Amino acid sequence: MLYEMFSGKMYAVCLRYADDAEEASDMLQDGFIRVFENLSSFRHQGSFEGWVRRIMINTALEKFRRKKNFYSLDDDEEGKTEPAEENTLDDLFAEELIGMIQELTPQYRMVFNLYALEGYSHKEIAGMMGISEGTSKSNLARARTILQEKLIKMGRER
Amino acid sequence: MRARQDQHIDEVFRSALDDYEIRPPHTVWDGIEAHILRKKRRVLWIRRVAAAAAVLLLVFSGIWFLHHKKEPIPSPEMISESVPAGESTPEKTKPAAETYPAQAAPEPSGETETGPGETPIQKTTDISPILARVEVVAKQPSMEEPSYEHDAVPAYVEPLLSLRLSSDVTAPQETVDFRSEGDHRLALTEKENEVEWDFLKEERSRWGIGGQFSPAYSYRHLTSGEGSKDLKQYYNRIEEGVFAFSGGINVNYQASGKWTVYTGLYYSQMGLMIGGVEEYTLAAMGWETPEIHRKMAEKFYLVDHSTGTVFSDNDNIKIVNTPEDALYNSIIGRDPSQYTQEYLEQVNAFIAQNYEFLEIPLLVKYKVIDRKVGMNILGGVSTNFLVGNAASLYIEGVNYSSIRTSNVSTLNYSGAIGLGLDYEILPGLMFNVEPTFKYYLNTFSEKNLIGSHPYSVAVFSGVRFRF
Repeated sequence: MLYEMFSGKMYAVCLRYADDAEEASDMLQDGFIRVFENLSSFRHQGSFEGWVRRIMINTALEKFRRKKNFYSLDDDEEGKTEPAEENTLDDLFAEELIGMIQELTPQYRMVFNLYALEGYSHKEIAGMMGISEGTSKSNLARARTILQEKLIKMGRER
Repeated sequence: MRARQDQHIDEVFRSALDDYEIRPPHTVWDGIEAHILRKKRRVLWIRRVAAAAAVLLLVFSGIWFLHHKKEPIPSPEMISESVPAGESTPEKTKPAAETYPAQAAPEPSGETETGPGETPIQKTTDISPILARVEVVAKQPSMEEPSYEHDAVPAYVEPLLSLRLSSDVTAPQETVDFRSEGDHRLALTEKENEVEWDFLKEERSRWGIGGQFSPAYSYRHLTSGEGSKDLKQYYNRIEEGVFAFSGGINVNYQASGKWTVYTGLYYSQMGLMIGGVEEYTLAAMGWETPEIHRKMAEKFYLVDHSTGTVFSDNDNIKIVNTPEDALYNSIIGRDPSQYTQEYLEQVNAFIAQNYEFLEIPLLVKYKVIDRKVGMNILGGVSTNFLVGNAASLYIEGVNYSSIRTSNVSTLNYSGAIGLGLDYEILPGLMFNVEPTFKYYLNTFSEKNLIGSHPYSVAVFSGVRFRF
């Protein structure tokens, strides 16, 4: 059904926005409750998956806004990795990438997700996150640098 | 160069994560299911109450109508005789045929049009076709679905099928491929006005009220002040904890999915049974003056306990706190060293001391398990105002009241920890059971010989209602 169809994909989305698996589960739960409660709001414009996904992102954004005051902007957090399941190489690679994203600070993570993976513009991101466009750009640049370093490090280790 | 590199990084992540799926923990669905069922039950409950109210209204209207129909309808002449002209109401002056139907046909007639059990949403369109399409697309062999344990359509999905679309959603003319590749990017960059997002701002009710009651075992923990170890042992020997009760009302606010903050007003009791009461009388001394004879009838009771100094407001009972006091109070002007324990006799007496507090708690609860039977851990602090301080002295089964303990702290702070179980008995109405341990952070006794920290073990049970 609806949940089974989308939960795997949406959980992967939530994992990218969350600090850890527990927060991602909460996000997914809250998001799906909203999906079910608001099915009547779906307008059949654009894909249904896009609609569900957008609800998940909104849920993540709300969580981010709520917790924003507690976050420090520059602190690099310790790594938080997902427990690996028995998966293919692609999945393992994806898990590693998610781990890298989770290691970003919440604000870098949010900007990178919204820009690089969801396709929003800096202007849109600035509006959604309540930051300036300049901050969005600099956060993205910093996030990319950190991720690149991590990718290079990963490449060396293999 | 830099831009290309940036694009490359984005592309690495995008290509690896775009179609990545990972099965979420089962607890996620459990939480969703519990929420949906809760909501469904709440709607049913409200409908039932509304239906019952409508039936009652109908019944009462009927009774009222029948009752008034039997009474003779006053003629205009009779009215003009019995009621002064200026006081006659329009209803009374109207002919009965016009009046009664209008009064006897209130809302119930409106109810019967739709029926009390009907959904308030009118002109609904079933969502089943949409869900069915979702399923068809899902079952296409080309889709590499992750395997789930839910093979058949589970029963818990039933509530979802009952969800309906409002009339402004028209059935799509062509099949929407919900799984269209990469479409989410397009969909996400569509303008906001195409999709209503206002509902996402909708806040679920976070406020609730509750009431709790608990029998409680209360005692005190002694810490070393200046008093010796012996003193502690002595108090521990002569004192016992008592069973009391505690209860109150609270207001609570759900700060997030798992955290709830509580405050309120509670009444709590703490107490002590104090044994080791010794009786002292002058009779043993054999004095014979009239004054002494009169005093011979007086008895002193020597009581000492850990939380304060016992004081008697009862003229019939004289209480002293140390042997020396007893002697000084009774042997006026004599050397007390001559009269010691031999005149002090242990009697079968004890004091039941009861303290009453008004308590303002500030508690935080964290939901560990969010299911039908939920589990919380809780902790917090309370401010406790001493509002009652009464004791009774029981001597050989006779009760003497108007005794109290002085030198106790009237403003106290306590900490509490506990475990809570809750169960939703009616939609929005939770029943809870909370074993709680409370410990006074400050010493209750203002004596500096020893620190006395009251504590209680209580099993609260009560209800919580969320608006």
